[in-house]
Amino acid sequence: MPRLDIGKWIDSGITWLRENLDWLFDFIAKVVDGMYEGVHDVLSAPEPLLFAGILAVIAWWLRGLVAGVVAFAGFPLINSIQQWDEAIETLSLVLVAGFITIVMAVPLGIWAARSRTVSTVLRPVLDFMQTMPAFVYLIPGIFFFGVGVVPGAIATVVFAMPPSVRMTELGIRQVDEELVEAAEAFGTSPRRTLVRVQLPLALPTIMAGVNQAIMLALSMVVISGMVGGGGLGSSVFEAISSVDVALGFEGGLAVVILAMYLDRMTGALGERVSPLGRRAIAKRNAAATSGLGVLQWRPATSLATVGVVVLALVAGGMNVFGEDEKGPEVTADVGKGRSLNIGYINWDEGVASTYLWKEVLEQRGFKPKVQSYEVGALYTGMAAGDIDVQTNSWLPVTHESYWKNYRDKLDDLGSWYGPTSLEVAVPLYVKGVKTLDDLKGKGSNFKGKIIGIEPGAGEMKLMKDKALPGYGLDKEYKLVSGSTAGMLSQLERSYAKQEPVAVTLWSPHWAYSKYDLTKLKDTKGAFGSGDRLHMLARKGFAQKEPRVAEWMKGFKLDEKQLTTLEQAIQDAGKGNQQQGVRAWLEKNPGIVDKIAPVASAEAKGEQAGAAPRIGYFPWDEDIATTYLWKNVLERRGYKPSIKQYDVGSMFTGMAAGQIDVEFDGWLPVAQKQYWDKYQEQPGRHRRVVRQDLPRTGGALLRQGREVPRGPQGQGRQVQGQDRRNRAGHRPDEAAQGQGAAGLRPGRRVRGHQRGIARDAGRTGALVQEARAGHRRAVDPALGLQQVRPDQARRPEEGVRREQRDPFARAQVLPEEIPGVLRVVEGMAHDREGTRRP
Amino acid sequence: MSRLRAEHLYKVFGRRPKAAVTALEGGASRDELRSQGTTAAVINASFAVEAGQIFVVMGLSGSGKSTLLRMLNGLLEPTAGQVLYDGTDLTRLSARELREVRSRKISMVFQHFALFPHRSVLENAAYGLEVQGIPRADREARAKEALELAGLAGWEDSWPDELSGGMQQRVGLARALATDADLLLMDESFSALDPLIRRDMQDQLLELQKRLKKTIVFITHDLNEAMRLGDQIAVMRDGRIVQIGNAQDILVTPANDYVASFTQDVDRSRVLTAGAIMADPASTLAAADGSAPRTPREVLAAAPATVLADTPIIELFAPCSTSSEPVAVVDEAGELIGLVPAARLLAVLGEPTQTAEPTATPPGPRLSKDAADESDTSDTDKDDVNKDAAKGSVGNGTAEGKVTAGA
Repeated sequence: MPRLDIGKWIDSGITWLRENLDWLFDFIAKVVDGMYEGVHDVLSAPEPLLFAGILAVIAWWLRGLVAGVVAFAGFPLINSIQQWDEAIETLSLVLVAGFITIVMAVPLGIWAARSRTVSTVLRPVLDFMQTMPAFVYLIPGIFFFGVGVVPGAIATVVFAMPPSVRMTELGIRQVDEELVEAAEAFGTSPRRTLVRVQLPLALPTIMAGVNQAIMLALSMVVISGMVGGGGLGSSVFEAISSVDVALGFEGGLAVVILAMYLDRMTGALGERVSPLGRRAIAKRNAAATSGLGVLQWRPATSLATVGVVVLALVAGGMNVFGEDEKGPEVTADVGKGRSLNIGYINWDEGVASTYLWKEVLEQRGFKPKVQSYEVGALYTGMAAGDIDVQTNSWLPVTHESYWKNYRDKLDDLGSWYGPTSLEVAVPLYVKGVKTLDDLKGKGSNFKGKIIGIEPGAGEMKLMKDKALPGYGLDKEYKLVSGSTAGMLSQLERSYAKQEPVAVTLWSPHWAYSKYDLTKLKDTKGAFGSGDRLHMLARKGFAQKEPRVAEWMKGFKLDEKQLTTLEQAIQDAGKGNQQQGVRAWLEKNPGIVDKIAPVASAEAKGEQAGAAPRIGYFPWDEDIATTYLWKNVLERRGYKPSIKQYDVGSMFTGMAAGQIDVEFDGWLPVAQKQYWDKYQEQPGRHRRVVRQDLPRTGGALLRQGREVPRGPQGQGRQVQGQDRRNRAGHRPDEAAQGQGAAGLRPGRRVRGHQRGIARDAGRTGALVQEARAGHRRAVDPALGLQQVRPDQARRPEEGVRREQRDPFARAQVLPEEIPGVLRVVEGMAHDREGTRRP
Repeated sequence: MSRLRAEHLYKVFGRRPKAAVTALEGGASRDELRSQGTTAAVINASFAVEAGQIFVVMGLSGSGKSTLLRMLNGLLEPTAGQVLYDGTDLTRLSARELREVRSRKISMVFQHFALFPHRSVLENAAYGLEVQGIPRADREARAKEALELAGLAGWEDSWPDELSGGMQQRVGLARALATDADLLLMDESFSALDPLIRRDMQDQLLELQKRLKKTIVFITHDLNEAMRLGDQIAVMRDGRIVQIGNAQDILVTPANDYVASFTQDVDRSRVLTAGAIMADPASTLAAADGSAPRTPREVLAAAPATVLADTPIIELFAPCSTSSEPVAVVDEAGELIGLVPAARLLAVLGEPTQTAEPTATPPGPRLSKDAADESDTSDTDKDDVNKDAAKGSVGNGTAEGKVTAGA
């Protein structure tokens, strides 16, 4: 049989979709994310107890007193096992996904019920959607929407939709044909027949479908915890990946409570909304005996609404007057509350370094969010820009495959620990096994198994591809994949029973201090040379948070620090990682300032605090230069405001003094008419001054404004001065400039001055790079400032380029601002064509 | 001009229906078509219904009667042929126009009532008016009236599932009456009811019809019901109308064996009337017992009873059994128009003669000749006839006697 690469076709199809329909996915992601955030904000606002009260009133209304009481017991229980926030996240996600599902499924079901063709076409599609393992949806989900809530919600919608569609179709088809005929016989139009007869009668079935959809959504939402969907899914996933029975049970219990509540309530709601259901309720009530009146009595809809509203208002009021939550003491507010996402793999050193950084960043005024991911999801999420940083990249070997795939979307912030080694370890009591070669022929001792870790881990791939075949062990041993925690607990059990066991392990690891283990020598070098632990950031992060990036680059831990930190976290126990970190920090005073140094005062420009108003056109090169300037000025303490204008209004605005500066005056040809009209001339009241800035193209200034100056304090009066002279006119620069201009062929070459033409080309390159490097460049400023990953490790080259590059040396740019410098470096670097991946 | 006319209606289900119609017109049989996968439900049906008439279509299940009914209000589109209602060809109307006609001029009563379970009795009865877009207060008032007509005053706020079958069908009837549509299509409307209630409903329908004078097309598989209700009866078999006529035509002169076998179980004593079986008084006067002819007055005086022509013959048995003299049949003015001797009474209850005349005949003389022939020709036949008659009259009589008593 020929091999049909169906999987590959799908893969390339999905890649194609991602490349060509990115805007669509972005749009969907925005909508879904917006819905989720909205719902979550509302649901998470009230105090847990009050919210439980609201839910209980709803239960009372829908199902009676007993249900209300049980609900009021169940939800506080979730709170008391500390799963409240997670439960609310899950509830929000379920509601959003359920809503989307229903909005899509019910009309589809109606359509299918009315058209046999649609029904026939739909059936296999639904079969496919329903039977495809739910996990599979997560993969394209991540590809299209990155990690987080959105792919989870989308996968949930796909998974939960079929029953709802089917039940809707079934419900409508089940409506007695004679009734439909009767409606027709009295001249009812098909649409009214649907609304007046079919839908009301099908409603119980449709609501059963809705109920199913919600329950499936709940189960899927838990699965989506694997891709950072958050909520109870994350709790459960974390529990699974660390074999934490307690957390697993608590997470699971919360899921069960939520599931039961949602199931009973949607079921009862189905009865409430359908006319037949209301009939049934009325009948039951009529038949009910009087003895249990109190239990039977339910608040009327109006009363229940009043109750819910009152509780909600109380909740809202308390929230307004409530205290802000306490975070760690902020020692230097660099972050000003900005958030950043740190992803980690649930490995000990990953947890340790991640929580260390979380603590450090919180002390510096940031609001970091940490979230554990599966390895693949972590890298994909970073490449998509959803995760800013991870601390635990094993390079160059273990995570080589991920690095290869995503290197152009990631920045390496350097290694903070190393070297490490990967190895297979056996307990010391297993005699005669010192090297990997020794394992041969002893398969039966180890029951033919080597206990591995997460299947996505690089070490596992190395084991499978190199170590096992390299030592001829692949026939004899089966590499068992599972989780790190699973491996460790297996090791602990076997160690306690003194049974032979072989595990994949790595150094540094606390297991070596806890147990007496032999690291099997890798005589054939199958594991390659040792990895170092790298900090990775998504592209553009270093520009967004240059200070953080700087700190991270300088971050180093030695073995003692790392192992003690891991131990501290182990001691603090699951769920208290941060306390572990704080305990460790107390024993290591001053380390925060070492990791994240804060200068005594930020360098300020001379006119810091001034607020120049910058206008720009929606043209690429102008967006690029404007945002570049905005960043530069902000770092220098200015508060520029930028606004987009049309050409005519730009000139008018400048002449009228409403705009201080623009950077994209096309002269002397394209915008001649405006220039002639508004240029500075004796006797004219309204004037615009041209200022050629060799680095970023021309700038037009409102008369009387001064371009903010560099810190060197040359105090150059910019007005009327030609900066070209300062920039110098060395022949190699000119040549370089021409080359750069070639990057952006032919479009509106701005030719009135040599220097500016060259810079225009550079701007173009800048823009192009912004696009290539950062596909999601919503904010052009992010795209602008890209750093090649290799720079950090080759500072001497950077210096050399800097000296040669007129752009970098231009006095108008404050050299001491590293982020800007790196942009320049990166560009120069690129043009030389070195190491472009 | 008839109120409703069907002309050469065909309904064929399956592929290429038009071709099937052509084949049928060319004489192909239903079975031939079936072997090709097409089903001819109605074949060349033509009839006319006069205003104020109850037109009953009778046939066994699968004979195409329900399909025929649904073509009359356009629920099914005829494959060929026309439906003329008040001169409008319904088959040419657009879907919208057809809905308009259905909502205002034609209403329907269903076999299984087809009440909307999510609406109260009043809302059900008002449904047709709601479709017409009549304001709530108005339509509820009219629906109440209709419910009252159907004998359900006071049940407005009940729900369909709280009512018995008969009452549910009354709601169905009220729903149909509320729209003031002139044409009422009733699809086996009483078949799902038990016999007591069915009879009750039949009476009520006849009662209503006397007052309302609707034009009604009534479908049934029950010949007794057909005979009871129908001014005209069309008997269908295998998609074709095999005979149209009034109850006595069908009974006395069935068009073929099929119709004849149908009529076997009919209680003739209730369908046939004295007028239909009476003998010519002249002949009887002459040959009563060979003695001198008597005058009509003498005959009238001797007769054990005097009845009108439309009296069912079941009422003649008691008088006949008390006297050897024939029962006298008189017209409205009291003039003697015929006599029913006991022998004749027994003879007509038996099997009809092998083949009847193809066309419906006026009752009276010809029938009497037939009957006389019959009674004269074979003694053996006579015995059978008598047996049958006895069986029939006893069985049916007691059953219906109960019914009447119960009702």
